[in-house]
Amino acid sequence: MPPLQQCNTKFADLVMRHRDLIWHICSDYSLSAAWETEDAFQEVLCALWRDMNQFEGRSSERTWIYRVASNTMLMLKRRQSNRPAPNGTALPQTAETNDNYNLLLQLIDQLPDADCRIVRAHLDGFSNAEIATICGSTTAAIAMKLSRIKKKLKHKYEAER
Amino acid sequence: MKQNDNKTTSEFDQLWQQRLQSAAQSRCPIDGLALQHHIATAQQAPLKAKTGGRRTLWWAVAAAACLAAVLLPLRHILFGHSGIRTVEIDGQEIQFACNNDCSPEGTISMLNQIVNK
Repeated sequence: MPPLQQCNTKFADLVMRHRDLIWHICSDYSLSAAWETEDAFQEVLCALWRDMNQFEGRSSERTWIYRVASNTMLMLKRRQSNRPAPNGTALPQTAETNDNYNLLLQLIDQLPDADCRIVRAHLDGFSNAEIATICGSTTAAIAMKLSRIKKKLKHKYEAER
Repeated sequence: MKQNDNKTTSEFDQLWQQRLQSAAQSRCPIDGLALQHHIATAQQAPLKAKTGGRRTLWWAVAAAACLAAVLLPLRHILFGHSGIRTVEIDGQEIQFACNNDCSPEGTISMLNQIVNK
């Protein structure tokens, strides 16, 4: 294990370099006031710190960060869905807004965890090969799944509109 | 109807593109001291050991070695043994079938039985 001082600096540099990506993942997954984006950001930093020694450089830093951060956010989302929402208000389950963009985001959010992760990674600009590394799958399988999920989302969107 | 479908489809594609672009434009509002505070808080958690996988492998090897050390001396008792054993008596080679007990004592006892017959 490298000395703690070295770890500290390395970690701080890593966070500085990728803070926009980390913040984007947190704000994308944060659903209600129960988990404010900033709390989620802190949780992701803790997860990155814990796993930092296990990063062996087989994938890019960006891919590794995305994997750890999306895992953490999915875990928080599951934890949040097990808990009643604050002030007794339920989490939005159906799209009630007229804003079409928000409708798309909500539809993505309602996808099963695995599908949701693939779509989000694609929309965040990751290539199919990178998504395959993030999800532990093959490039061909990701391409196929992505096209299937997009078709499903399109149908849902048309039905909701 | 068909025209309506086409409209929502192109709308969907536009929104899809909008979402693709939003990722590139996302900026983290936490900076300076606040960011340093977040980093320092995260660093209070213990680091996971790097050698986790290798350690598991070593445990597996050690467990296999222990099992082998116990099972090897007991293999005749546990699994039985049979074969042809050859002994030399007065310059003559005598072969006989041997089943479970092939220890020296067992061999002598078996030979005694043969001689007595």
